[in-house]
Amino acid sequence: MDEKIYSYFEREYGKIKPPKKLKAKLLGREKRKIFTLAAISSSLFIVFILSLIVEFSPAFDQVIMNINFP
Amino acid sequence: MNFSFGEIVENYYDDIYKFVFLMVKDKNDAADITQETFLMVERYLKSFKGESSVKTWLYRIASNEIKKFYKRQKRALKYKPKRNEDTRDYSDLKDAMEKLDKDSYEILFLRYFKRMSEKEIAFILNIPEGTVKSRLFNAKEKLRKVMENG
Repeated sequence: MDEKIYSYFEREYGKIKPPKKLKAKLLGREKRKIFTLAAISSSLFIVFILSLIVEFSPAFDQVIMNINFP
Repeated sequence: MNFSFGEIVENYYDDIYKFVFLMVKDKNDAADITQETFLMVERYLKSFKGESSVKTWLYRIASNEIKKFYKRQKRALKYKPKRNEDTRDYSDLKDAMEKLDKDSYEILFLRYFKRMSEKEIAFILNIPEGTVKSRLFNAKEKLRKVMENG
């Protein structure tokens, strides 16, 4: 009986073809997440570098002093 | 034993889809349930502490998603006999297997095809090991009776 059960599942299992599109979609979710994380990290890094440049470069002092807020 | 979501999809997607398909017998439903299963995996992966193997954890989530599906659908396992390509003996076996209730079918799959231990099955189905033993015994008895009675 055990072997019969195994042979039934083996045969039925072998007929099933999982859709590749769904797998790609699931894998794409992770790639998108990694891409988003990389984009956010890069943006933060650029903002940080720019703020350092503005802070420590004397050339920007004049620019900052001339900004007029309404 | 840290797996990324991508590694889990790569390694277990086919197995989970096939398990779900066997349980629901419909391509679209199987795809929906498989997707739900992996979304749950993605959501709870960080809180997975390794109290079981990744494989049994996945089967547990998939089994729960199948139960939720049947609750929503309020229907039994679809039975679609297709005799033309099978031999008579195999058709009889297939008919008998597919006349089984969903719980018996699932437990036979996990034990006799996936060769999982009673402990693993208990974890997947969230039932005591003693219940696994009795369900296995009952499932085989049901199958034997269905095959005898045709």
